[in-house]
Amino acid sequence: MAQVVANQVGIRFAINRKQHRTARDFIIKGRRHKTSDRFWALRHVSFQVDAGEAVGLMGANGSGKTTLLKLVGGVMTPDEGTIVTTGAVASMLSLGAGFSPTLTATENIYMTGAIYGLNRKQINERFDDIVDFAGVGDFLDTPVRHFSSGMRVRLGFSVIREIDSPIVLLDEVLAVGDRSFSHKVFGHIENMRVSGKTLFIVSHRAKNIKKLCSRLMVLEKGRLVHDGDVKEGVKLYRSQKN
Amino acid sequence: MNSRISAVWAQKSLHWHLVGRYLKKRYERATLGYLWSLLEPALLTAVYYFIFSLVGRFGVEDYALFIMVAMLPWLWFAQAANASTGALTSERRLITTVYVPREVFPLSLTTAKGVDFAMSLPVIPVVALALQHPPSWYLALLPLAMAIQWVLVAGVTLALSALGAVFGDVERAIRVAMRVMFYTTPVVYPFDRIDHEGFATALEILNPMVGLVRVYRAGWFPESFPGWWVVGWSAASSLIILVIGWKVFARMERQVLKEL
Repeated sequence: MAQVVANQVGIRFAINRKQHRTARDFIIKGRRHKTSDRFWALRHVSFQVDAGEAVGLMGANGSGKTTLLKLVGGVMTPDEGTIVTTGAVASMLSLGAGFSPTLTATENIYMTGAIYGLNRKQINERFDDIVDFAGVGDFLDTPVRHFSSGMRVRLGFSVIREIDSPIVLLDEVLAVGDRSFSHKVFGHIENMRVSGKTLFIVSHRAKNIKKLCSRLMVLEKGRLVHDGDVKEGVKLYRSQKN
Repeated sequence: MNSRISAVWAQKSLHWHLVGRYLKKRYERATLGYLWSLLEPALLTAVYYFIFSLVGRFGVEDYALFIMVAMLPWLWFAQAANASTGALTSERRLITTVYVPREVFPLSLTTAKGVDFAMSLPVIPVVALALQHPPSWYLALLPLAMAIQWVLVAGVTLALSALGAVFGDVERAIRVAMRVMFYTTPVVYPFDRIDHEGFATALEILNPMVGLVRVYRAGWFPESFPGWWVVGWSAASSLIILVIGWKVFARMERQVLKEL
């Protein structure tokens, strides 16, 4: 069953994105339409991912990996083409970043649960597991702004881990947290794969990709240059770098 | 459009979480907490009371109460509009990592400011009691007025949150627009003191707050009641503004997501 279908997907950004646009740019014609100020972060990307596939994504920095995950997750919309996902998406992009700094760990757990459509009762059932996995039992009433970045990431992972969505996006989750935590994370990703979830895994470490993924996509400057065999893809990714 | 509405409706509980978080921030971190909700409109009322007392307070009896019953709903409108430009940008980290129908942020801002408004309402009977001013039967229209105002404020914050996330100028423009709207809404003066009839009618048509404020005020000053046609128009125009605001939001969304 096709779970994610991308058809000729493209998205472009202004080169100087941080600069706020002013109404003047809008009124004075030409500035807005100048295409040289913009670049395609992704273009002509087509693929179909079936339920239960574990897809690795590799590519140099700025090649469009995270942007592609964001399009799959629906936090961006393509300028060209279409991307259709069937089923809910759990997002592990910048883990813990979505927490409200002023709220306590407990409150953030409930709020994140609400974002994913879990009601109070469902969260109550999972609450202890979340806290155990994150190892933040002593800090439940502490505002998250006082958390170390490692703790925040751990809590972020532990909450999303409890979401029952069929598609999971993982962006460099193995590179965060200490050794013992990333060991736990690795084990959990394997479990998700075995239980038939559709995974998108971004990593720079070929070892992890080889262990976890059945399929690899390699991106280069916004183009999908490889989609298929993992070993071949890794070889391509390595040659790309040199 | 329909699918968007149902997607937002499905996020009711997130909406209330966001409202709760706003109230917590507002009331927990300020030493005076809840008192601010009462103090702010009271102080503003005092300022206008003294200024306009110097020039005869438009001949209105119990002028302090007269201002206050309009000041509270005005503050709901103005504070929501002022805060709207940050409604999406302040949630940048959440919005760029997880899919949620983004409308929920301006809508929860609308509700949060509405809860602020509701919580500041007790100040009115206190002032009325001090002035020995009786309420009128129009007070029963309070829930209706609040419902209409929620629709209006929702439309405004939807449009401004999206525009404000993309254009830096919006924040400044809102400040000026709010100043203009404050004086074109009969907050500190009785609406029937506008001599030019055409001008008054134009205000009534263009600014839904003109009708709304008079409905709120009629709860204590029955002669302020603008008539059912005006109430109907306030409701209809608020709904139109909500539809336009939502369309603007939907249209800008792709751009907003890139800017965040």
